[in-house]
Amino acid sequence: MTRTRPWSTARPRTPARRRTAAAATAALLLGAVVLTGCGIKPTGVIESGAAGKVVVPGPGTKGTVYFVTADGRLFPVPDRDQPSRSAAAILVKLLMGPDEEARAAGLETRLPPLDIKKQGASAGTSMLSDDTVGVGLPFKVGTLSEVARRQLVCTIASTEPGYKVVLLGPDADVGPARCDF
Amino acid sequence: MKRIAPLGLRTRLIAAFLLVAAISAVTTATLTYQQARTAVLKQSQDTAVSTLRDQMETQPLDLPLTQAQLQRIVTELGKRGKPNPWNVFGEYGTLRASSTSAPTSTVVTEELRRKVAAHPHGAFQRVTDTAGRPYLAVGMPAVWLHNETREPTGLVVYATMPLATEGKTVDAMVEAAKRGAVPGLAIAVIPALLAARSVLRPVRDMRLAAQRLGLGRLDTRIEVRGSDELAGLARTFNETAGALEQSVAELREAEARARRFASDVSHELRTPLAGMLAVTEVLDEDAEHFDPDTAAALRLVSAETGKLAVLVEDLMEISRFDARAAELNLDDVDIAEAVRKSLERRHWDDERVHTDLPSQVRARLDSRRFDVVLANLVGNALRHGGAPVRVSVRTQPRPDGARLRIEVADSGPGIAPEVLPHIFDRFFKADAARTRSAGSGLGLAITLENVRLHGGTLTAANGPAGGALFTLDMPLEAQA
Amino acid sequence: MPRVLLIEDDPSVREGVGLGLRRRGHEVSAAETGEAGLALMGTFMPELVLLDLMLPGMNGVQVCRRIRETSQLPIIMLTARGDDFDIVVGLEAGADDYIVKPARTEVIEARIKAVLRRLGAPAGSRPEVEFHGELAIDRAGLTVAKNGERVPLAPSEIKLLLHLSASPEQVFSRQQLLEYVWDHSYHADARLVDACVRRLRTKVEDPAGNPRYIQTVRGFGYRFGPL
Repeated sequence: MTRTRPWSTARPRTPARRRTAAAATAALLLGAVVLTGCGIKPTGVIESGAAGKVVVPGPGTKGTVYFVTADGRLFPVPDRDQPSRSAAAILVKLLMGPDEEARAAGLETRLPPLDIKKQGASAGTSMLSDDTVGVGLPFKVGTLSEVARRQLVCTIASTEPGYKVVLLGPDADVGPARCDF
Repeated sequence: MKRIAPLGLRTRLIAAFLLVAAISAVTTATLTYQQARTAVLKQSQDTAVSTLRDQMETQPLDLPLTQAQLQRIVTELGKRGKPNPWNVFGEYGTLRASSTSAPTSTVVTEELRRKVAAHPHGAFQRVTDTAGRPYLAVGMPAVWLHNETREPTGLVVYATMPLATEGKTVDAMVEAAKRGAVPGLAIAVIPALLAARSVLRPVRDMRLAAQRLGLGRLDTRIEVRGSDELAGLARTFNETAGALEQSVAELREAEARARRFASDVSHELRTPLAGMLAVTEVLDEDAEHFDPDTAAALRLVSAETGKLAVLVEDLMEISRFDARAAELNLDDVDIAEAVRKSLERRHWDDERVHTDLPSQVRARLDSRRFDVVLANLVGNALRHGGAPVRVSVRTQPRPDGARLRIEVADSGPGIAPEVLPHIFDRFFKADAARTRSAGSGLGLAITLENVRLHGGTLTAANGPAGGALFTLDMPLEAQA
Repeated sequence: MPRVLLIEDDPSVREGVGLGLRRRGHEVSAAETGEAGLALMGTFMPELVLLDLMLPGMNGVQVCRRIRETSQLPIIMLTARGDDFDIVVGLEAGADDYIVKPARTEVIEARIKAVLRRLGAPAGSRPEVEFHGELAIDRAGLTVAKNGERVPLAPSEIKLLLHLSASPEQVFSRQQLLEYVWDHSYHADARLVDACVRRLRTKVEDPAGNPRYIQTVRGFGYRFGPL
């Protein structure tokens, strides 16, 4: 016995197709909802709050030398010996490169090595203005890498916050720049 | 696409209901579960990150860090895992330290390292290890306040924590969701059945009512409940049934009226005629005592009264057929005997009529009506056709019942073609000039109705020999 | 010629039939209503009643029943063709025969003769009283007794029983019975026979169980016995 629908002669066959399509979609949605549900899924990296603020002990950390790691990140190394060392003194410390302790941690410098005995006199700082320090350097500053420049600027600027630094090299003057931390 | 076998309305309703219930149950369960899972994980994650941060902040650093210092920090931090015990890995430059045996973690991804390095903020990531277990990796860089700016110290601490407990909680939630959804679905069957029943009951009532109506119970009505489409249908049904009942009642009433009329008129007409007949008989017998004119007049009146009586009788017969008030009084007869008796009674059992009758054939018919039919056909044949008249009776076996076939053929000139179609009409006279014939003009009409009443057919034609041929075909066993 | 009581409400029929019968030598008394007719039964003492079915007041069927309560007089009903139902009722009430109005006097005369005709028995060839089961049939005296008790039978009933029992176990068709017993034409109303058989059975047969004496043979007719 065939079942006849009273409206089947009037309307085309699409209602039947549409109905089955709707049912199929519903089933699929259901399945999708169910399947994506379960378990703990991995995620991407999600930032969550500020970094941890540590206290670095020691008598003042105004003067800080910045060395870098292999990937170019600046690592601060506060000056323990003479915390309020002048800019010139901190410059010499920077130019002398990382000490043994720093080297053990994988720190290095991108600045050209300085023979303190030979070139020590040609490296110096002077106040160009109230807040600008001029750094005289015996090597070319124009060809310095970004990282090296940052090392110089941040190290000099650490002596007094807010200082601008101008690099005075035999070839060019670079600056003024601030430390960008 | 092959069609699935058609399902009943109840099944479809329940299936649709259950589908809706299933979809909503599953969707609700899934969404609830997802929210709950997010909450559980968020709780753990936030706790882990803030714990790592807080713990780190309690550790004093001396820059640059030495391996020993790093190790110390990491070991200290490793003891303080919240909410679950964790493994802590520290990275400073090229120095690596961990609170476990492995120096680095497989769970801490490059992506986490990059992100933490690029943007010094706490960060976490959920990772699955090689065995598919979920882990939380938290990265926390250490920054210091230097000249009123927060600068990264270069130290980054990572903590990895298995999310086994959370996993168990989440699994328990899945189970709970399942255990909630399935019985929910089972319970949903009950309202589904109720809903189906509330729709199907009126439908079934309507079907039963329609059946009863079809069987003739015209007073069938449906109770109208509610005001939806089904109620509207019920109301329409009732109205239609009411109208039908009324029409049928009117028709029956009209039929009854017609029958009563026929019966009353019959009585009214016949009673004076009965008296008239009796009187004219007497006059007829004594006619010779009167003078010739009076005698002739008396005989005329007598004859005409007789004809009037016949006419009235025939009219009554016809009106009873029209009012469908004619009934068959069936009896079992020997057909040959019945035919012979009819002919004998009218003294047609001489050489004018030849018969060809089967023997030992019993038929079931109305004897009186059959006699009328035969007398009419043979009488017409003798009167309007010519002797010899041949009457032949045959039986024919048929799948739906044996048939009786009677042929009455005369040897006259036959029926004129223009007359043939009207021969059974009422008051039709073949010869227009012959206005006064012996019969009432209703003989063949009555014969036809009598045959029809038996469920048979009567046809008129011209036979092969030239005379008129009337063929009667009726069931051997007539049904009342 | 037998005395005839005519109970008929229509004056023209009354006069006409009365006239016709009187001319043939019958003594006829006519009544207009059933009550008047019943009253005349006692005073006129008819030998036959012609009874119209359609009477005002007490109708013909009731009159027939009332007559049958006390008498087994031959009763012939006068009826119009269309009164099918009434014919059956009238026959069941005890009428022996019926005539369809309008009827010629000779037809009425023939009916009267038929009803009053006795079934002649060849003298000496049979014993006076025949015993069939519990029935004792006296052909000469035209009486029937069951278990010794006289059973009042109307003329048609007696004639039917005598005819059937004269040829026990022979089957007679209704048409044949109409001809032999009622002297009707072969094609007369067979219900006449059925009604008479029914009346006979109520009087002669045992109430419970199937009829023994008057048996129906389906498709053929009736027969007497076999016992």
